[in-house]
Amino acid sequence: MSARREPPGAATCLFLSCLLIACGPADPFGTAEPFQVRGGQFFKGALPTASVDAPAVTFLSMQNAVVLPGQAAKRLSARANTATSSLALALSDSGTGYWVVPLGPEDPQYVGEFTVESSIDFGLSLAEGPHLIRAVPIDEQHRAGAEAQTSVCVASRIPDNQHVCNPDAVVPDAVISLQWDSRSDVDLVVTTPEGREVSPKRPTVVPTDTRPTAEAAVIDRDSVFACQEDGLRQEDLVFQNRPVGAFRVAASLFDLCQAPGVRFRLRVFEAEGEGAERHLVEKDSFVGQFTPIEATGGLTAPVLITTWTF
Amino acid sequence: MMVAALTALLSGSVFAQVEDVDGGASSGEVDAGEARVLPAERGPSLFTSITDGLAVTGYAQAQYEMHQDSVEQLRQGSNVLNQDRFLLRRGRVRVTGTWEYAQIVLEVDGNTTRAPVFGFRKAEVSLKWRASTDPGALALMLTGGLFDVPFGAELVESPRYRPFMERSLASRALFPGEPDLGVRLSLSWSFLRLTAAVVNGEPIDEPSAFTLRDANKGKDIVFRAGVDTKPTEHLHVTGGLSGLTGWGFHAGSDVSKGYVEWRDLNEDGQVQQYELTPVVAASVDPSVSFARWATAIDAAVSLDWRWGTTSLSGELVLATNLDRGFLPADPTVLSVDARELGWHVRLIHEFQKWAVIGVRFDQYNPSIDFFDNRKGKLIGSVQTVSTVSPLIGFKVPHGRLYLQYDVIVDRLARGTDGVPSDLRNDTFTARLQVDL
Repeated sequence: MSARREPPGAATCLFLSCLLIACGPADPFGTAEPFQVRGGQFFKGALPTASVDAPAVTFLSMQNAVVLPGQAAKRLSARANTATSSLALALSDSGTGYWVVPLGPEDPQYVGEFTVESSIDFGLSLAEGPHLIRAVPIDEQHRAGAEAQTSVCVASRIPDNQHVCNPDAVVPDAVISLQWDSRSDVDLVVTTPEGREVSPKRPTVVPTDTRPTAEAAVIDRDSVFACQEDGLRQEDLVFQNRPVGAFRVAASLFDLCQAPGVRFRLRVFEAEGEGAERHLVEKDSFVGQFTPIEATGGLTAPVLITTWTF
Repeated sequence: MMVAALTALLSGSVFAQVEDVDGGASSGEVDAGEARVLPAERGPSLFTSITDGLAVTGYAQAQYEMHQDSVEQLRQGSNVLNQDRFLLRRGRVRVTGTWEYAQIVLEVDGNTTRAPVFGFRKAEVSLKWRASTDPGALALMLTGGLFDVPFGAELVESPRYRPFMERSLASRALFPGEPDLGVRLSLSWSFLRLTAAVVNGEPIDEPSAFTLRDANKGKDIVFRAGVDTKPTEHLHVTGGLSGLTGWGFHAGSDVSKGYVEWRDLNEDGQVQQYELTPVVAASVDPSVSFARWATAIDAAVSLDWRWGTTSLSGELVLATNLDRGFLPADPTVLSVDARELGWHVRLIHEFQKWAVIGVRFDQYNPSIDFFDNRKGKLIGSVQTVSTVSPLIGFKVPHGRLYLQYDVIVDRLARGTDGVPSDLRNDTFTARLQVDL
């Protein structure tokens, strides 16, 4: 008898519990959001809309409006009046919700106004170009006041001299970009038509005894150097002036950093257009992978990916 | 008394119920009564003298958990945020050797709770003495090794028999794991149960670098004085008063090397000279020990009646600087003692051994003197976590199937007004236990 009674009771309880659990928020911590406010509380959904006049944002600003790809801990400063209890923050056209931060102490220079100093992390997945940071003041009765905004611009992940944020900046003529998908020390290695090997250890195309100019092609970083995560996992050889000749493009696995393997993608970009309309266009891309046996600390020759002729 | 003791020592027939003095609690884990006693089953053999008195028991708990706050992401430091999973909560095998004046308990456990682990949960060696075979006779046991800390009733309750999935939050915060290393003296006489122990104070599962070791010379002294009686045939009453005093440890830091720090003050991703700051080498930060204490009172009453057995129990604990699992206390950093308060009440009804229903309400405040910062002012606030845990269980062949839902009300999130509010982190657990 008892055996026949158990399944319905267990099944009913399991069903109800699954239902209750499933009603919970998908991500109460906002860990997958491309716009994150440190110390803030994440809420899923649209920013509250203004319903009262009393709470108000009196100041909203970022110190530097240009956001580098994946940049973290950018400072946002704000002030709000005494009727405000907290500030709701969101990035326009990005993310699935907003963040709430409580107000800090009263600003001694602006009596009756309370400060908010927040650190903001911008995800790598954010689209390049201009965005708006939206701030909505909320009072102790959870009512929202009028929205304030400040603009930011997310720079391109492919180095373009920040042309996407400043049209007056001149786009480089060509870029060879290597990206990979795990925390591994991978290096881009390019051999020039003159036979000079360029890598993060020797990042410029000019000979060692020559002082490189600002226009000299250079590899922009040594990504995941010594297995130190930099969030980008990307190295770019940037040509400010158009190169000529055949370049042998290779990749070297220095250290897998305990990853089981790493897949990479090489892309070649060349500038097209004139003036403000000039921009980088992807000409070709190549994919490949490294296995643990290929992690040799740079002792073996780099793996040739392509020979690219400009 | 001495004559009786000498007579008992020579008689060789005492200690039929040694579990009475194990841990001082009414529900100690020495369950020799249910164990397979090898010699009795195997009959005489060449190894009878070795295996005589040995008992092997065990159980395994396989379960599925669901948490409202599970996320398919990693926390900073690569800790997994998803908690919706199957796991082996406990897989334990115990060997108990009970002889006239000695006892040994070895219990090993394998589980996947935090990571796949396998190790000792108990390793007790005891000397014991009982005045007579009378169940209420004076009995003493001196135990050394790895044993459950005798503080309160919940801490020494075996997970094998505990109806609820885990201990209450207060108990888990103050004692992340039940066992610790030390020496224990237990006394049982009539309805009295007295237990005192000296332990390292670094129990199993403590999230520190010193688990089951001890970084300071000061030891934790623990005691419980209780009663265990049956006023009538159908009524069982237990209760006790517990205390703990000891020393916590604040780990210092090593000597550091000097380095240059870059702070991107203008946030342009480029290095300017004014953004470079020299950080000079720092001298050693010495370690510091700090005092901690706790006291608890527990009571339980159970009644056998027509429809089964109903039991009501509760425990109240007040402590200072003892939290080691939820919000670890360290007064050396803030120069303020952390005062912890926790309690629970649970009501359980068992339907003639085939099903059980129950509910537990527990509450824990990791810092009674907590302050929240609002608009630059420190305002007294509460960090209390309250949990209501309804439970239903069914007996299955050689084990049981239990289902529990935990409604957790805390202050770990913030509302839209910026004030601390409840984080939606209820949990559901389904567990199947089969006994060996």
